[in-house]
Amino acid sequence: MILFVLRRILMSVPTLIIVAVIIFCLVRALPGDAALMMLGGNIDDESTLEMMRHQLGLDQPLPVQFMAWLREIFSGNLGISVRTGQPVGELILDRFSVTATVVLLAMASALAVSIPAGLFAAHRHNTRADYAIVVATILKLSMPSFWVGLMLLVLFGAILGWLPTVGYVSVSQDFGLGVTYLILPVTSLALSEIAVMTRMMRAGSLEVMNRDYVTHARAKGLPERQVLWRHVFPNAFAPTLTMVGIALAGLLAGAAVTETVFTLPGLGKLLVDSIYGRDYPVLQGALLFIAAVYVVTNLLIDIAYSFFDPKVRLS
Amino acid sequence: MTFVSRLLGKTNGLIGAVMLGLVLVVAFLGAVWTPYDPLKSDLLNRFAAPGLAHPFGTDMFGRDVLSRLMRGAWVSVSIGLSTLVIPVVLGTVLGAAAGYFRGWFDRLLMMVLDALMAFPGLLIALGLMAVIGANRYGVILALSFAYLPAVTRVVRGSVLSISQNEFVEASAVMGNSRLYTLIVHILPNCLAPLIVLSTMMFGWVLLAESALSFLGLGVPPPEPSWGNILSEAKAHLMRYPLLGLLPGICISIALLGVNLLGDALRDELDPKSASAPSKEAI
Repeated sequence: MILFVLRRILMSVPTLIIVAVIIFCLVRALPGDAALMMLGGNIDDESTLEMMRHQLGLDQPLPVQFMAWLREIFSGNLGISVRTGQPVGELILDRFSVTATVVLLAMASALAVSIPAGLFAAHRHNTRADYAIVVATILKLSMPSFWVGLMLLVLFGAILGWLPTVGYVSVSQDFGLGVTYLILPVTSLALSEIAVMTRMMRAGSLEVMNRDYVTHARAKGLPERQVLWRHVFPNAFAPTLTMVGIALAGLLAGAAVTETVFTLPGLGKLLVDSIYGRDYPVLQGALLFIAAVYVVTNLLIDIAYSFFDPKVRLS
Repeated sequence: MTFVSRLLGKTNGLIGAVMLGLVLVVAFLGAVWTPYDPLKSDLLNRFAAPGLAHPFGTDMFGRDVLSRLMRGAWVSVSIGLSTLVIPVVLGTVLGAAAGYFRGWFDRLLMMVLDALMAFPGLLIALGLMAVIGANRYGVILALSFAYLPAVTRVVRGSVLSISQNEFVEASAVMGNSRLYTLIVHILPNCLAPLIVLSTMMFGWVLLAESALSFLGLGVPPPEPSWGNILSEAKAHLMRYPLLGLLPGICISIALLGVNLLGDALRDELDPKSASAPSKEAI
């Protein structure tokens, strides 16, 4: 088991390095001269520009620049935002707390709904309840979640006036008010995850529903509730768990759109703003951070998966 | 013929094909004819309510909403279709080469693809849009690159499993070259998963295009796409929710068609693959 975990951790190192190379190339390919931008954009003094380039290491060959950048990352220095002058690492962690709150709450509520819903649909396979759940999930799967978010905003924010439409108040500042700002973003993200994971959970449950051990559990007289939760659920959950990892990453990327809809000051909004503002240190840092979170999440999911499905450990 | 009739004999296949067909017809019609000029503003007639002259009303510049949605259908659908070309062609070549010839090329490619998969597709596209600039060719290029890993992996996987078959061995024994075996005996058998994936990908691209355009990183206005119609309507949604409701419904109809047809296609063509719903959360 320890061997499996170690091997899995080692395997993610080359992935992270290639991720860093890709981001580095991407950011170097961006239009605009970084030195010029640091100096405020309109300097025609060639020697000052040269000095700035030298200071930023831009006159070095690309591989040297890359290694220098990697060294900086490992010492925890992601650079300084061109627009605000804040350290990028600080900015990212600050914004990430907002995104993480929304994403984790959405994921938790999605799991709380979709596990029972999927089990229930499989239990009532080919009945009206099952069809209703299948139709509802495929309908939701076909709606862009940012559009659903916008429509929720119009309905509850503007027409009914129950919830605030613009801005953000942190839960740590004012709990009651903070929650009202979180309800809509969390709901709109959770809804699409519920659709995906209910389908996964239903498919997984259907697959194990007719296995011998389930029949045996029924035959020995266990109440149906216990059959479902003790015997079907643990075996049906593994594929859904993999989906949780993919979904978390999707949520992080989707946050760019959702956070724009709800004007939340999260990581996604930071990323989009850094593209508009040509704030390349922030863009570079944010991309790297999201990719790293994704790699680590998948690592954790894989390890968790091996508890549900011991076969994975041996392969 | 039997295949098509079997596909349309299923409820989801039939409904999906009809919805997708409807979207395609509207899109092709929108390319050549719209009731009004979708770009022509009429400032005396802004935010007109739906009526006989304008079935869906007019927008903040007095442009006919129906005409914009029809032309937008064409823009979005044409982006969706053109985006399929690069990933399908290049992904098939790369995936087939990696899966059939194995070796260091396969290992290197898989490592790069694993790393690329470490970004959600939308994120790659966002980063690339910053490089290429926001226009429709940028969207096509960025999304092509974003979905290339998915195609490559699927083709590689099917080539790997098909290579195990005895008819591949037989072809080698008959003295056929490896390339001939790959093209004549292996690749045609990869078509089924590729068709299923392309159908699904068309849906993902529609979704991603609308998300990018919504962020202002897609098709630039005034040219309408479903995403930027929604984006432009955003500022006026609180008073005119219909302007945002309609493009969203259009996207949803197209995606529902794709999802239903894709499910039916998979059941028919590629029944072995898990019934996992694949969708990028946007």
